[in-house]
Amino acid sequence: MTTAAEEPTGAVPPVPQHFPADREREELTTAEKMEQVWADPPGVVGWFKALQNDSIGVRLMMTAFLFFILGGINALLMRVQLANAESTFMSPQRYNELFTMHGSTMMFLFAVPMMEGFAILLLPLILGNREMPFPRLGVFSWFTMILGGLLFYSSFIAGTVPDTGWFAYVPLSGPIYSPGIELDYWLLALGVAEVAAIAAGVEIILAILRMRAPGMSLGRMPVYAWAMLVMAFSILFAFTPLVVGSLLLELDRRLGTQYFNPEAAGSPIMWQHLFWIFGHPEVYLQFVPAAGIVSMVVPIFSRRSLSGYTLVVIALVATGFLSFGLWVHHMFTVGLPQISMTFFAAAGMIIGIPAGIQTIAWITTIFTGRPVFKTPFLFIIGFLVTFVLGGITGIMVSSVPFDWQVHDSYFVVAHFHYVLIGGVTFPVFAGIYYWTPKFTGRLLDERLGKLHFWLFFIGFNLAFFPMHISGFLGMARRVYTYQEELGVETLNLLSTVGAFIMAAGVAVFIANFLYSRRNGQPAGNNPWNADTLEWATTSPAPNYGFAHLPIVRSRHPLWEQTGIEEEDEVLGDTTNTERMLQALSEWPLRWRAALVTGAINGEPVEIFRVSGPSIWPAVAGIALVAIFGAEVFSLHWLAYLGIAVVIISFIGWHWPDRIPFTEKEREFEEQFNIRVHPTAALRSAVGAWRWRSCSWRLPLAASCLATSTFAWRTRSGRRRAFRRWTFSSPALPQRCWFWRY
Amino acid sequence: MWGAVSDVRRGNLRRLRLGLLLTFLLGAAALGIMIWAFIELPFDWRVNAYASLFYTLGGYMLLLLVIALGMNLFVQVWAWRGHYTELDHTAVQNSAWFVYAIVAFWIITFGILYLTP
Repeated sequence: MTTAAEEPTGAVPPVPQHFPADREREELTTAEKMEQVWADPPGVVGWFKALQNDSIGVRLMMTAFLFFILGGINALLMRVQLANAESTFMSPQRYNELFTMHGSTMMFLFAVPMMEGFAILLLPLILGNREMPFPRLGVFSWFTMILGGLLFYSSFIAGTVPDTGWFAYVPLSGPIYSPGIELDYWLLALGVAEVAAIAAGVEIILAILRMRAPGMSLGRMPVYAWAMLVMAFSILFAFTPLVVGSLLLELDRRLGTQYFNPEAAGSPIMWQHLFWIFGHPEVYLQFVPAAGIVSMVVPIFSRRSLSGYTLVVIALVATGFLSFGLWVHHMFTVGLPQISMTFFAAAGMIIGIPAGIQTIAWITTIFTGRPVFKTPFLFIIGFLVTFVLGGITGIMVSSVPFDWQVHDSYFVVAHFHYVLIGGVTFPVFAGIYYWTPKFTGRLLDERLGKLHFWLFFIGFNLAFFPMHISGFLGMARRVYTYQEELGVETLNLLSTVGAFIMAAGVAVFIANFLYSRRNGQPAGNNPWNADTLEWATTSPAPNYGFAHLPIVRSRHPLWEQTGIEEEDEVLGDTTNTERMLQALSEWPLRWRAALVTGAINGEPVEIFRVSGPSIWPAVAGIALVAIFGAEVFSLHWLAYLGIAVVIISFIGWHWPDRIPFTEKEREFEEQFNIRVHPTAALRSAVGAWRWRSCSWRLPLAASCLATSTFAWRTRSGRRRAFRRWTFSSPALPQRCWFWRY
Repeated sequence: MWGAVSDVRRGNLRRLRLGLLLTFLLGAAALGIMIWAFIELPFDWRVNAYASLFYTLGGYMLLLLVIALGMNLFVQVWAWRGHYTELDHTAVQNSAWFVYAIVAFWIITFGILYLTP
């Protein structure tokens, strides 16, 4: 069999065979050779080395779903306890543990990893490239995330389950009131999972900015990619204060520092600031990618393009920015100055504007289109109904007097479940029904899908709508029971029944997924007649994504591009690019070549080598979790061993793995006027910095910002404190409201 | 470090090695001074929040410096083994960016700790 490289290719100059091929390889087609280069290694060791975006994305999503089930079981147990007044189904202590585990699981171990899994799985195909830029970082992220999560849940086995809520307010979580290791589990196990989130965030930013198909300018980028970009930036800037806060609290608990001790110039309120400056953007960094999914699904099932693309993108970016100016609205009852509450109340209302813009854009698209009510679209309708209700109650609680009335009541529980389940879980299910055919090759069953939707939608509203009323009637959240005289028993029973109906819906989904993987209707390349690039390749897609990278000339390439034009308004004359992409589809066949493109216009910049499989990212992830786990139990020797292994792993991970720059690479460079970099993947990072956006420098910049902000706040009134270093002192004199409160 | 990167861009590998070595020595000296300053501090981290902050931020800077020296060491080994060329020296550039970032961190962090009111 001849390879495509040996066949004449019209105007494209023949591309020479660069490596002395053995007889066996010669018999393979070009596509097979490429598949061989890009496939993950087989066997058990290969499983640890596997780094294809498909494998890592699916692993992240599966793991997140596993934690979703665990968090859901926690919730069901709580609902059984609350089904009737003064129930003795569980002890108050167990109830405290369950609501802590439920909240922490859903926020840290389900929502963010699920969205990052979506991104890693889909982005290379949606962007028309072959792989994520740093696949080894993805492997590291997954191992860190799953082991951190399992370490967190191992607290059930040890009988030391965290019990201070997902926000772990000090002084309750400090060394005096929580002297056991329960809070260390919370801080260290979730801390390491946060590292995983940041690692994946770095990779996602670089993929979106530098690894798009030629011609995919920012203005042609799918809304989904915009949403993921905003999410990834938010992860970097939101998780950093949380990591810093967790570190400081752990230092207070273990080493006797005084950050949150008011008797030694510390401040317990600072924990709330550090937590909520993470906690509020956390909500939006779940909602923003979900909104990206909605913006992808709505046009496809409305049979028209998205109404107001530019406004939707601006709204997404604005949401990302504004989400960092809202955190104090979780702290209205703390006793803040009126001026700061006014600011944050206004910000809380203003963020309704970008959310409203998007909602109107989606509704306009649906009303001016010809909707097709398939399962993904039903979940979008469910999303619109529930999210709008949650958004309205959000505007209500952003008003300070109203918030004072309903704070810590079930009204707030209802509000944020409408936002989080309505705004995140419904779109996640829509996305799973929409994209699963691309990766399994089979459609999910429609009848089971619709049953899933109706059970989930009815169950959800039955579970959470009554909570608005029980909250108004005075039912307090985070309390293990209530008295019959409060008059909320029937409402609670309805909520419990609703929760079990939702669970039945999830069970139907699992059954549907398992059934359809084998028996589902074959999907074909583009079962939904969609417009984005992932549907241009086979289902399931090959490991290399695209052999011949597409040139994008439209925001809807599969709907609007016809034929090959010589000129493109973004790229200009594309003849050379066409030739280069043709040549790239046939060479190199011995290393993983991907294309780096310009951050703004998507013009080809460089061909670089994506890292291959390696055991070291997995070892580094396992050792990192071992360090944190060892510290929970004060096994310092194990922590030191873990540090040594992490250092060795990082060296092994980055050890030069060179492919010589030969005449063939030089020939390709000269022929197509593009840099070829077969040595390593790092050049893309350097290239990205030229646009002032770079992978590893972003977390450094974030760390820099966080440490300087933190230092600045703490240093208010520093000079007097300087003189008091050597003796215990009362609280520092504070000038800055920001620090004082 | 800046000189080392400029030299490797021009293909002057001998000056690259010297630049990396000089960076390492200066970094090691800074590390030594920092450790000495920590030993000499007249308070410990348990006294009050400011003392805790001083130790935490100082320790963080120390950690970054150790990482930078580790990176420099490996880059230096590869430089002496002749791995880099004027076209292929990404690791040198990355190591340089890390050093620049640390310098920026130092200025911000210690500026705040020592100089601001």
